[in-house]
Amino acid sequence: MPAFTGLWPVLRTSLNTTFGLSAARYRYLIKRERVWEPLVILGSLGVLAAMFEVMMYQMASGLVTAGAQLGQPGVAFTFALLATLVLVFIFGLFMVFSVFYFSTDLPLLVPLPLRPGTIVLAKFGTILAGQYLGVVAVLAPTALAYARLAGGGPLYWLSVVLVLVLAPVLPLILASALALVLMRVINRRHRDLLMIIASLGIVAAVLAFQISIAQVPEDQVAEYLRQLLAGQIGLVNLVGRGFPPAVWATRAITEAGTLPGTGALAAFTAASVAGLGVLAALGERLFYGGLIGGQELARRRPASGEAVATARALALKGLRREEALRALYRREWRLFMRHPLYVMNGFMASVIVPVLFVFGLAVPRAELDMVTSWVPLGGDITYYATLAVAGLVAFLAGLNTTASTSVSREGRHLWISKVIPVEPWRMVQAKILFAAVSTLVSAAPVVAAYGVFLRPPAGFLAASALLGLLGSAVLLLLGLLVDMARPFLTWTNPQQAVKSNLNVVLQMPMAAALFVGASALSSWLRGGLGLGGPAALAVIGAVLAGLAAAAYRVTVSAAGRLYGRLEV
Amino acid sequence: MLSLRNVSKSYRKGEVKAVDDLTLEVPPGEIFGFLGPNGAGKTTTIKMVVGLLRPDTGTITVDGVDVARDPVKAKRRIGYCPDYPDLYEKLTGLEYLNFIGDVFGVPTETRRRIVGELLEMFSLQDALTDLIQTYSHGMKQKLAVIAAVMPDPALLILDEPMTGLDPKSSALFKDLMRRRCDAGKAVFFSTHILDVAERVCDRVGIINRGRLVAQGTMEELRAMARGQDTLERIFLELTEESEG
Repeated sequence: MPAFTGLWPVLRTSLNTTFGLSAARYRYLIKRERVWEPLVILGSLGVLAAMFEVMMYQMASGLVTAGAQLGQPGVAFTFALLATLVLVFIFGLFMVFSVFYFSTDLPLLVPLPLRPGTIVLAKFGTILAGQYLGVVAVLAPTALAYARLAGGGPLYWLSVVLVLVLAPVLPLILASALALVLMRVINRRHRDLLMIIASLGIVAAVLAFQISIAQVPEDQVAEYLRQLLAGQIGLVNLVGRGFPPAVWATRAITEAGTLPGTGALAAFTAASVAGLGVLAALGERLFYGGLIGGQELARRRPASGEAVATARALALKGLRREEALRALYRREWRLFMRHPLYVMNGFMASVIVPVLFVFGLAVPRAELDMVTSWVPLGGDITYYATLAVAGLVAFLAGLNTTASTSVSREGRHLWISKVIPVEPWRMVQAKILFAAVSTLVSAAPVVAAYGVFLRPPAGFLAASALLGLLGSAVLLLLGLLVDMARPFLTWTNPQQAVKSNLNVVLQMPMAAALFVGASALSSWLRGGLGLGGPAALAVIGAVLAGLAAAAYRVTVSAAGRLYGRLEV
Repeated sequence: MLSLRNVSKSYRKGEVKAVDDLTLEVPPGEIFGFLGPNGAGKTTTIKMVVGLLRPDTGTITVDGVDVARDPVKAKRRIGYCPDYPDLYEKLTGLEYLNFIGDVFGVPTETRRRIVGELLEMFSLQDALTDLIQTYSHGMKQKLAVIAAVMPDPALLILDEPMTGLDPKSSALFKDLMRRRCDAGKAVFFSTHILDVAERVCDRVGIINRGRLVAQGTMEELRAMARGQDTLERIFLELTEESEG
């Protein structure tokens, strides 16, 4: 392997700029500006994280207990590791594209006397650092649950920590290698579009694989687990064939301190280190080719005077007037949808989840009929299913970052919005319109799947859509309001505008509050007042409509003041 | 056309005074050159005029409209081109011009007439349907100038407009500025290129450390600088004098 001198300075600087360490230190410790802000954010996120972790722990405990009844509590780790690997791979893939190929520090790094592999490894290290919060969130509850039921000594915990550190390395290497190869080979003229299509193809393939191995009839789960643990079929074999390190990691923890366990840990570590070597070598060969190919001018120049005249005539013909709001809306749409980083990091999650939902319901007709036969149409289950679907639609709006990064995404282009003769409230209307349309994209498959697969009465179906969209509207409007109040404009890489933007995270406590509020209201209406399902849905809808109207009014009326406060 | 009265702007909670009690007038039909060393306050002044920064004190009016009180009305009268135009890279040049035209309410025929003339002047005819991300720095600068001129504003504000332009485009652009002023409009631009200011401007203002140290025609400035003949010498004399 070639010597990668300069790796540490590049990695350190990349970590610093990506996570805004110096900027945060300057703001909060030296200038002491808005010191309350990180405390409030960390506090509210801490509460959410605690709720999530309790839920994860309960799931992990259930799985450990189920496995223990069959004599193999360690199966929980296989599931947790598999979930980690898939999540790191999918979300890592999108991040790799953005950090490897769209960081604004690349024009500074490339002319420096650094090997391409050094830059790739430093960027890789930066993405890796960002994965650990999620990895800990998934693996730690499983480790705790397992230790509580099966016992765990110092060697167990040492293995857990080592596996935790190494867990995201290999899936991220896989994602990086795919990105390096793709960027080197795809046509540069339509690179943005191809990048999205290729990424979606990869994600679809991984999800299809996941779904195919997870298709277990409910009445056969115990038998499935028994066979799985006995190594006769299923997950371990499939994963073992396709991705042996997941099995090594499981054994490293569950057999910690034994020779096979130590061997598995050594194999897992060696695979990760070897993977880094392969990545560095791929970086050396492919990185600059893909990077420079994307930055070269790709314009076609007509050669003759006649061709220039034709181009001029076409250009002038294309100049035609439109209404200002329509122009502002088109700007939002084009600037978001043409940027693969925004589409992949800010929008895909809210599209992938409904696709998963549809996949999940796409079971064979006979099984579906069996399920739907016990759903008494018009009864309580339909009521709660309607609420759940509405909640899912609103949850997806919570994942959608189109509104909560709307002003932040303007970044260094904000000067244009500041100098055009348009009232800020009109710009905000265009942003709301765009967020609403993008929400419809994610809501439609969920509501359609509800209608097709569970066949509720038309009124309940309409209620699920209406309540979901009203809840979405509340979340999107509040997200936009927060982003107007504290936009993150100093990003150096467009991916930071959506992935490192706290405003996105702040939308989550709002979503949690909305869900808790709606659930409490539902309980009171049904249990306290004894209202029927349709009446309760109507009241919840009216309350949500009131909230949405109030949020719209506040957001639009605050636009002038908040935009005016922004200085460029 | 442009009036600044006692305008001040500080950064870092008053620690750094970027513009200090600036007062100046640019009448219709005038090309006004705004000169000063790096960090003198030129860009801060321009940003306050176009609404990117808010002055701490003072008033700015454009064609009689107060920029702070009626910003949208004031902005309708201004065409602005920044020193480094960060344009929307994922739009084509045509889409960007249509966007600017739409928010300024420029009729289709007007935008075709003005853009048609400027495209030829800047040799951008065959580039307009390409994404801005494929443009060179100079092409972006030219597109930003076209976008600023297209609404046919009463006041054109240009921050270092010549830096990205090649000599031919630069010469044609100077003619354009003159024609606009002959039609009763005004141009306010900052520049480091003293030669351009000397040949193009009707009047020149020199700013140093946030304060306007001199303004007037070339003859008036020569008199102030004890008979120095070139603008470069006048500039050095006046800025050194203000520091001394």
